[in-house]
Amino acid sequence: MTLYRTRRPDIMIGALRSLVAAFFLLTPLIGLLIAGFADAAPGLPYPTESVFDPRIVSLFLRSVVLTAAVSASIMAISILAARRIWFSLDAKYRFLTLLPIASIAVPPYLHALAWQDFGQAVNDWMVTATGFGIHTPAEMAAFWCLTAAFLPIGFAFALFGYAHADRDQIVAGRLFGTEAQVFRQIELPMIAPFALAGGLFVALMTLADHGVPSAFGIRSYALEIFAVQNQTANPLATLILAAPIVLLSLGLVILLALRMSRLAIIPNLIPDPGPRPVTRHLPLRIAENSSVLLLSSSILVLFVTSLIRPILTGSFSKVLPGVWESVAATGTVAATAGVFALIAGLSVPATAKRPLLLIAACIPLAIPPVALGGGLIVFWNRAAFDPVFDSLLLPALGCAARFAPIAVLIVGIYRSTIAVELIDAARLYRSGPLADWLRIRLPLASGGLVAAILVVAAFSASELPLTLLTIPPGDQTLVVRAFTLLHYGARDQVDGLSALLILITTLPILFAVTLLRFIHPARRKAHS
Amino acid sequence: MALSLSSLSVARADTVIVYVSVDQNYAEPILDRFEAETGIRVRAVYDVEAAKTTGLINRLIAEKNRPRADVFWNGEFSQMALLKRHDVLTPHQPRGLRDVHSQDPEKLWTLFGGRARVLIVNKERLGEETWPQSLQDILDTRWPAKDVAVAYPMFGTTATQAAALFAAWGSDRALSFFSDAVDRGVRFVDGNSVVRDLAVTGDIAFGLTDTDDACAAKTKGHPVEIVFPDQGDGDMGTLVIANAVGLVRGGTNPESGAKLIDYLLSAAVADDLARAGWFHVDGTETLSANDCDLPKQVKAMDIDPAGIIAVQPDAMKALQKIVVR
Repeated sequence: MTLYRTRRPDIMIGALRSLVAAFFLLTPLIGLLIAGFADAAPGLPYPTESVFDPRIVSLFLRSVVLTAAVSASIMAISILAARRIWFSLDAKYRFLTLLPIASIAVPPYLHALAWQDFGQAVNDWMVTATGFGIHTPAEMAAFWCLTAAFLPIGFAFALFGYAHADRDQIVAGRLFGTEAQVFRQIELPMIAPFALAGGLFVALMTLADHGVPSAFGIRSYALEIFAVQNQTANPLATLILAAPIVLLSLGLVILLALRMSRLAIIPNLIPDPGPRPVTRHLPLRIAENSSVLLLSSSILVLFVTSLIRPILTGSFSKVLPGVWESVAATGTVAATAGVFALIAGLSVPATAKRPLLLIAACIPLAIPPVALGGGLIVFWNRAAFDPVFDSLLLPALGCAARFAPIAVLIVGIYRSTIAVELIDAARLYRSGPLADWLRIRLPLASGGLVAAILVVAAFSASELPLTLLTIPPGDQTLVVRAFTLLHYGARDQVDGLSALLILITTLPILFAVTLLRFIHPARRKAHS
Repeated sequence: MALSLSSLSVARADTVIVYVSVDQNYAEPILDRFEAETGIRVRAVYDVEAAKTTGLINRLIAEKNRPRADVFWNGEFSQMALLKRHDVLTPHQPRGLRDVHSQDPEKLWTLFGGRARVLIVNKERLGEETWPQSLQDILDTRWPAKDVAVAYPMFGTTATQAAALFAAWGSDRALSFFSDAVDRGVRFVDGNSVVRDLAVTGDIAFGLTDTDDACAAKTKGHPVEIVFPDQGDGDMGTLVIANAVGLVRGGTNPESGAKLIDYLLSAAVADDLARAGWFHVDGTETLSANDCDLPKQVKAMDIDPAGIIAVQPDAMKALQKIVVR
């Protein structure tokens, strides 16, 4: 009897959570299936046979190679830079490490333009100084621009890893091994789930981007998908062509789930400041410093081009009149998407014990945004849902569906690190589920929850294709405005809007960091 | 309840929702003026070049069972066929059609105004005597391939021009043209504005783009010149790409939508769009705006838009295989 009494509420809560998660994650997929099967015009070309065409296979493989190179480089640079910065910075300044997340709000294509400007300036200087210019191969340029664009997100995941690593184990390791051994055998396995999640997300974003490779004349699998979407306007055709990406991402999620199952679940008991390396390992230190340099350059070039230059040249003030409605629309979509994604993340009990749920929750990441938007429209375009459909809630739901898997991953990993002993101890004092959540789980996972909101909001602020499909008539986000001006050749105003995007993303990050510093004492209290 | 529904419908009768794939800076002043003159509130959704009109076309198709838009104003015409195939548009006979307008046989859309496909030349890279004069010059080895750029021919107005070449030359010759361009190493880039920007910076000697992109660069004082290709005796002329406007089937404000279409087709709007730099061709006359200094007459390709639309699906599939590889 006791068993039933305790399990029934669990089952009900589980079912409720699944419904909430399905609401945010699966509605576009349901709409997509309705659009593809029920509403598709008869006789439309479905490119099922095209998937096995040697040209398509070759294109896919080349895109996978580029993606693998980009995501591997990003995670290697991110881990090394995060390690260097985390152990060097005083604890009270560590909040500054979250600021690079703000640059995610600038779309990758605008990152690429910033680097093109930088490359042009360097080339002009070289020609003037030496008489010789520099020539960067297109593949290398595309690789670096993609790496620079997504490096902040990789760095954020690596930081989450270090912030949540068990410092007891690191300190103990240093008593018996060299710095390199500790890094390889203790630190890397502990941050591996975060690094894998970051790598997975970066890989999928890279694979979905055709703008940056196209800017350098590189053909990508994403361009093929976009062209098919352009010809057929059928989301199911797009989905069929995206099937290899979905399968690849599922494979990566399975890898992540396996990794999560080995995650150390001992909570961090030592307050800041953390331990510092005692011995120096020169090759590791050179690699770390180089990584910090690469990370800094990727952020500096963007900030100088898109923040400092517009302010100095006055183009920033030029874009301000009449832009506030777009700022409000961007902020509303980004913040709402962040909250929706967090609710989805909390609702999916995706931990190592339930890898299938984790896999299901990550599927939207692999679906082309235009298809996702089409599905969302088909699902929500009903009389009963007009208040949602005719408002900024629809693009927010779209961005939440597209980026909620990040929140699911982050929250899932944080959940896996909470010691069951703490929850059991709390239950000994007969605390209820709400008290458990508020006094134990929330303080311990607060960093992850805030990070999930911030990352999803920053990506939502930079989202273009899905937003174009779902934004209500009369509204416009900053990114849509920026791409409109880009076509008109008003680069200075585009830079001004990029500056605005960076600024409005930085403010919530600073607010969140301040909030976390207040929560921090509660976190220590939870441990004690 | 009845009262609230009634007030909702009254409110909607004074509104028109228009999806616009014409650049916002050209379309918005026209729509603002329509709103001021008629009192009908305009709510617009604009496309961006990065989405290649695909965004709004996909949106219209996804919404077709319960349309939200009343009017679709497209900066080109070939993708209207996709909307026709998905039964998104409804026949409409606009008032005050002029000779320069043409209609789809089922009156699903009306073509008006136009931009021309042109070669944009960097004057600092090429002296006038070496300017290209024909589309075929894209393949001419006098100009190194890396100095020549064309937007991807699967999207936007370049796709329409590619389909026009398939209709005019036949698929074998058109495919061979694009295949030779790819093999030669001509730069295929992500949009006409990218071609323009490459010509402005001198990264290329010349490229293929639209008059609005080229004129925008020229009027800003960049060192570029505009060449209408294939204008000689016996040459095929260049493609003039009209705007298209259609009424959405089942839109909630059909009367306001019809009024907006009539307004867009008026001579006054054509003049305004020409002055703003969006329309450059009306029939065979060029409408030079903003000191763009175009030649007075243009020899346009003698080709039926219906013929272009008919060959486009097959042309796009074939081009995709050649260019995206």
